[in-house]
Amino acid sequence: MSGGGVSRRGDDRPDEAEVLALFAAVGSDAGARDEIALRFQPLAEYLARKFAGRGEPFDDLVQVANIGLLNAIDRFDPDRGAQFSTYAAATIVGELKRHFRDKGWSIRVPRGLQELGLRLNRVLPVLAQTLGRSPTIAELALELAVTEEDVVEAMDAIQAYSTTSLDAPVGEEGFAPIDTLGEPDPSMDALDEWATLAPAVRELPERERKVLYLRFFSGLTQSEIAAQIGVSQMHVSRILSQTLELLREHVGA
Amino acid sequence: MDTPISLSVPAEAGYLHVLRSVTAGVAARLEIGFDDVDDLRIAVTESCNRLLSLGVRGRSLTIGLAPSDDGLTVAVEIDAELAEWPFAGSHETLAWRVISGLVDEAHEELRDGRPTIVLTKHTIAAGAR
Repeated sequence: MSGGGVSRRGDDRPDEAEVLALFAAVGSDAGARDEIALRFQPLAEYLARKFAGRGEPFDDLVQVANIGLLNAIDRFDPDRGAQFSTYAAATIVGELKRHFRDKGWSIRVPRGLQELGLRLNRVLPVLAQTLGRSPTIAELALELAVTEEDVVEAMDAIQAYSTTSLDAPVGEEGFAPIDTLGEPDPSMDALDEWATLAPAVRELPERERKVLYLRFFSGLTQSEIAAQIGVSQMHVSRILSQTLELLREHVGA
Repeated sequence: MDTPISLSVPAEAGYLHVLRSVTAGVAARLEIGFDDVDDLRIAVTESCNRLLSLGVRGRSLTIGLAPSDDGLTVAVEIDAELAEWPFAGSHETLAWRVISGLVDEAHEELRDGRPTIVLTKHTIAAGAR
């Protein structure tokens, strides 16, 4: 692993002396920064590719890598004697890792579990529709041809981490969740009572408030809420858990 | 099936996921809908946090799971010795609204001085929700 991925792409690595010259010009030449970014674009893409296949669209990863690259350009100090390519690679990888951490997917979540979680996510609404109720874990295990323990494990993994796939709209029309949340809703009136108990309720983003309202005031199940706001059941579960945690932190009880 | 299951962990937030997973694992053996299993997991988490908010340190949290044909009852208790129920006006709190809203039945009691929150989720046949 010495040198990481960068050294293996030696051929198209920008000439370090030229890069240093560009850095010297950054202050006076507005185009210099862009020029550096352009030259290291292949590095950004190369590193983004290393993080592909983990549930994030490649294009998004390239964008994240580019943010890392721009940060590297802004923070790099040529006087310290380090090579920019080394510094940039470390910064880009840091940005990519942070992206996954912020997204919630620990990079260590076993792949099989992630995939089972995603399959579970797809099968849930289908089975619920067929049965007219939320399927049991035994029914899900049968449908997915795995053990009940596998389903519980996937449930744990999914709850603890998130992927963009989970956040993607599930409706056939592919409507984005935000579309259904555009108009002002009456839920704040009902939540007012809660807001007196926990003022943080008022500060919640609209979607979080809506989920809280639908679950605790309208008495809808997680699946029903999922169908209504256009996300998966497990996404609703995560929103609920996270919102409650947030409120708990604010209320202290 | 009717033999109760119990598990104790240190009374620290970092161990709650163990209790959540065990709850889901036991609930998985019953005819309880996925949504309800998930609600129960969240209710167990919230109950544990409610008990942890008492600030009893260095003790344990215990869940007792009693599966039956009608559903699953989970008793969440913290190892403490209190003379009286510690939460004043306790049902007017957000925490209690949430907990009681997530399960079919919920109540709180002192068991030999140990604050205990008892949660029940019904099976589909017993009329969940």
